[in-house]
Amino acid sequence: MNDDSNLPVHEGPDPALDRWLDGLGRFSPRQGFADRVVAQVRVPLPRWLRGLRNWGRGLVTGVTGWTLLAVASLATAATWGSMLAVGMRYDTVVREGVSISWAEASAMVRAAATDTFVVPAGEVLVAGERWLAATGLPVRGLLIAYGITIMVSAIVLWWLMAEPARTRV
Amino acid sequence: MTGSWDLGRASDRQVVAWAQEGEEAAFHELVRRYQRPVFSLVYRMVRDRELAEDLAQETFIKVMNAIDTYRPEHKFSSWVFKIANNAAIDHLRRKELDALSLDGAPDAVTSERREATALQVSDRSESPLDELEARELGSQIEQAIARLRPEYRACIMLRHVEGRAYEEIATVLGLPLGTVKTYIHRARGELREYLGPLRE
Repeated sequence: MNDDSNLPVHEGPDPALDRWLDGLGRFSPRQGFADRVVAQVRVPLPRWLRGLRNWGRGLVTGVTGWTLLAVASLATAATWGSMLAVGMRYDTVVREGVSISWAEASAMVRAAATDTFVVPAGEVLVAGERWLAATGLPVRGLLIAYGITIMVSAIVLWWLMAEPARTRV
Repeated sequence: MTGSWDLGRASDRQVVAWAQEGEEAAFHELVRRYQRPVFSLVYRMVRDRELAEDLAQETFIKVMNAIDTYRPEHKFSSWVFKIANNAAIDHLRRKELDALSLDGAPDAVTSERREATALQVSDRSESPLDELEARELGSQIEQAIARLRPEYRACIMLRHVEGRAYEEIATVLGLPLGTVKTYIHRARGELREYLGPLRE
């Protein structure tokens, strides 16, 4: 193909041809075309939400659902242990809703963390169960409900973070 | 939420930005703006209405699903036409097609279908004789265009129907500017030859 940028568009004016060509009309697709198209389009999430989703995907990339479930279960036990530790150590505060300062709250959190990670988890759970039973709360029901909630949340989180199939252009 | 007033008057760039933010109305607006130009281009390339609609739909779905990749320094119209042209060219490479008819697609078998597939030319308040003559010319022009090579046809359509600049046509077709000028020059020469009897 010989290309010549200096080549004139045509040999000379041709008003008749120009008129015929410029008079060509446009065709229209069937009614509802836009609706049919948009119905098949994946409307993107707002940017900030996509950023959050991509950050979450980065955390779980390469992680299987079972691994995520295991981690969530362990986190559940740790959280439960912390809650029990706080409840036992600061029984009066928890029961009576006594106001405490931020410094006292920070000390409670540090102590709860120590109880959770230093004290054997089994001891905390056993002691905690006795304490909870004394409060009259339905211990078994709470444990079961909390456990199921965490498991379902972990599965949903894994499903949401999974990379969807994308159309390539 | 953007109002319909805003969408109608906004530039392509702004509407695309809204679409990238997840505004479904913005997607509708983009399709509304380009459905006829894209469909017309593809229809004249493939000369089958149902196929053209499928290809046009496929074009818009590809564009919309990849809207995040759009870069505002480029024209949105160039991107859309490029994808549409590629879809049509890909199809043409697999098939031989018949000439387009002003009176409806060659595969139209009922009067309703012929009317639905016939070219809709803008009303120019002509006399019945002028209108008949215009339809005849239109038909012969369409047939002459249909005889052009697909690349020539795309250039002529983008230049004369869509009013695109040569630089944009070069971008759409992925060709050097000089090649676009050459194609248009040769296409006009061929059309002049095909339509010669009409001048007599």
